[in-house]
Amino acid sequence: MKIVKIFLFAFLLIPMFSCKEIGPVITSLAPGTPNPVNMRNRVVLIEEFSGVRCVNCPAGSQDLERLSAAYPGRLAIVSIHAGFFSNPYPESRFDFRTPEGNGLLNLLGQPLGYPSAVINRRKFEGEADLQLGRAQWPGFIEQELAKAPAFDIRLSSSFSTSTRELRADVDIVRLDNSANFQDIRLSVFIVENNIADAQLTPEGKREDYLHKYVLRKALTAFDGSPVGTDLQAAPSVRRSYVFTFPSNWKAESCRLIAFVHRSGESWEVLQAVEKPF
Amino acid sequence: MGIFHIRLKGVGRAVWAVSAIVLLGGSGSLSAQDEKSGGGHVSGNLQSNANFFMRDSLIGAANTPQYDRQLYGGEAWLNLNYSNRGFDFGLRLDVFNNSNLLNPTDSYSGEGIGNWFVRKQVDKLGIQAGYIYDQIGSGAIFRAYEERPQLLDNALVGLRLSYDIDPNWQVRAFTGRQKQQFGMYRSVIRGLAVDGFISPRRAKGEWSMAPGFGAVGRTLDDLSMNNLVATLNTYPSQYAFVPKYNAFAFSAYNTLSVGNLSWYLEGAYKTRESMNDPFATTAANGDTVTGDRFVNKPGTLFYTSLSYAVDRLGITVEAKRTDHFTFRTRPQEQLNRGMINFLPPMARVNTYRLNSRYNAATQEIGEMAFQMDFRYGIGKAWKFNVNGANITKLNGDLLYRELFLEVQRKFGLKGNLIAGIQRQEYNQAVYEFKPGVPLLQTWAPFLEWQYSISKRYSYRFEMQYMRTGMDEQAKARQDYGDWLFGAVEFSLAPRWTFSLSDMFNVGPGRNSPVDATGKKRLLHYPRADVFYAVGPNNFSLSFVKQVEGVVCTGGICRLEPAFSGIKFSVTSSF
Repeated sequence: MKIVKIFLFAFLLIPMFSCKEIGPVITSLAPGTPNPVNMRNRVVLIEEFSGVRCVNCPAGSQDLERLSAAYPGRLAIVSIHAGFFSNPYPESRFDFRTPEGNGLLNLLGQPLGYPSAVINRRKFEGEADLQLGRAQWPGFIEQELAKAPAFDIRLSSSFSTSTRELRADVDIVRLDNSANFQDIRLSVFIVENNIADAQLTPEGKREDYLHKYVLRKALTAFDGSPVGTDLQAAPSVRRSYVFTFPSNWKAESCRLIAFVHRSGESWEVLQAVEKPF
Repeated sequence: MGIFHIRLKGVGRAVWAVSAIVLLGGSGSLSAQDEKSGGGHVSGNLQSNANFFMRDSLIGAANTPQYDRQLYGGEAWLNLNYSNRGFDFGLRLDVFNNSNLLNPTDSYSGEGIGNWFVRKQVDKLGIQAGYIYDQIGSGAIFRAYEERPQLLDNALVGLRLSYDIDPNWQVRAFTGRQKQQFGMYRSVIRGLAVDGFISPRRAKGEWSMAPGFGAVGRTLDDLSMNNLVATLNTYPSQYAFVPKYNAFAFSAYNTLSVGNLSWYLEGAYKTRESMNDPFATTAANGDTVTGDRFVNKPGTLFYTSLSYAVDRLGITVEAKRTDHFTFRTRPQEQLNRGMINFLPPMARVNTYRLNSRYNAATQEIGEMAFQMDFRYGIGKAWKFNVNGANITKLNGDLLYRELFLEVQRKFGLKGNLIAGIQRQEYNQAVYEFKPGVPLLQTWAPFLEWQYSISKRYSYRFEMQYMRTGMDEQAKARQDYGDWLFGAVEFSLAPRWTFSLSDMFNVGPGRNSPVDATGKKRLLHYPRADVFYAVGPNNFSLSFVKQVEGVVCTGGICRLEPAFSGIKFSVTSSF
């Protein structure tokens, strides 16, 4: 009788584990093919936290390259070298750490592991904080791309090769007149691509590793400059910046990133734009 | 009549319902008199820690919110249990203020009900609702447990039923979602286990068996699946796959006891599902990168343990083979988060400071591990312990090897001497993701002397030395190099204990800090503790300088940065 009872209870397994499921559809996105998200003009900001001593960061960088190819012109990527793995090696040509990067790490929170990225500075449902591991980037990027932008940002710049002076003009145009823009700020970053320098990789230290999207400088304060009051009063505002490049930066590899975001309780990014000089 | 009123922001209705049941069902039963007359019983315990951070950038205790600006962080757990009329109720208040337990480099604050449950045995049927801690077999397919040093709390929030078929056979079934701090993960987990005990009457005392079988299913939530699909969509086509919502794990286990021999055997299988492989190689755009990538694989696990114990002799031999046996509430979770199962560690759990510096964390993706432990006593004075562990990848590459020898000599009732030596080979490149570093090798002799001067006064002295191998490429000792550790402890029974210790980087290695001239520093990591115990209350105050390292608790390891500051803790039970 006991054996019968045991088998009866074991029988409970059948409804627990039965029935065949219908799986999701996977559509591998080859670079350059149009992605399935709608074609709003939303550009998503990705702030990746990295370091030259972070062994997994090259894989994170490769992911960002893939994502950039899958969503051409729709991602503004900044690689911020800050935190435990960012101390340069004795043989490093550059110290990629910046005061702005340290400020952003404190502002957005320390990740559990590197590489990590903050996407549009949003705390997504079910997540413990703003920092997201590599596996979560694509899903949340898609989610953000599907949103309508609240602003249009137009970026124009000029660069003098003789004086190495950059002049950047940022025009912010309000698209949503109903929202309260009191706490809105503008941040403008310079990032440099393809910098050959030392990096720890799973195969060991590589001295000619090509670092991508490295944050070089914030033209605004690291946590942005207030533009909310002006945007309440007028449908558009303009901010201009002038900056002289250090001699060891390659201007032709640099890009400007501007984004409009909230401040205070939430630092959510409402729209971003990226542009070469 | 006892009045019991807690007002907490964010506490769910269910908790208030439990509290109400406690109050109504147990009204008038909280007094000692009622307790004696068979009424309710209240018990509980408190654990609280306060950390005062003192920045020391030289040892790496810097650049976290606590060192930079917060200066203080603390945690507390207040557990209350109430039993009455066959019901058991539990309620736990968790408080985290700028705590660095969740993420050692970040700060976490939150407070609320971290655990509640209602339990009732109705004849043969056991019912428990709320936060459930349980495991199937050794935990290979399911273990809901708590490890506070790492803020690991994998309680299942849901319902658990058990049914006693007879005194020797029990069936358990549960369903719920895994706890995530004060919230919950979305994936649904359910399971069933049958556990029994067989001991034929005529052979009673000669042999017995404790067989069991378990099955666990996890259904991925839509949000996690959408996120996973979006990630897989970015993979080159050769790496893409169609992920499963449902993953199932099964295990069968048995303990056979024959006389002084005990043999535990467990085999587990997990259906094909998406999991993160931290060592996957991915080729794209002409470049190949090693690192995290989702793979779609089934998993297997075999574990066996054979023990023989008679008089003063004890022998244990263990073996474990793991192949893609990651089982998490969602594949995006990493490190010690979202784990549904627990894979037992297969190396000795060392307690001495230097001997426990390097630990072999379980490799979920694949490992083959053996361990042997031999204990023997001669008379009352001598005890010997030999322990050996060998862990390799499935392809045979060495991950960890340890040989541990210990001799214990008692001198009457007053003195106790322990001496021994440990040899370790530790694949730091794999365990700590430090590529290019050679296999770390250490020799670590140790000595402990304990002496009771009188019934009230006693002292303890501890000394360890760790010699690391040479890193030929760096022309330096491996990792942090050689260490010397000394500790003196003095006890005034029954209340006071004072302890002083120092961990000295006597031979700095490749990763030891350097001064402005580039010369390796000879750093001290001192520690001073005062412990005070009065009845069920324990207090401790410590000044701590602690080197960074991999800290393991219950088989789960993570990298912990250096610590510098003062720690104060209070524990109590009532």
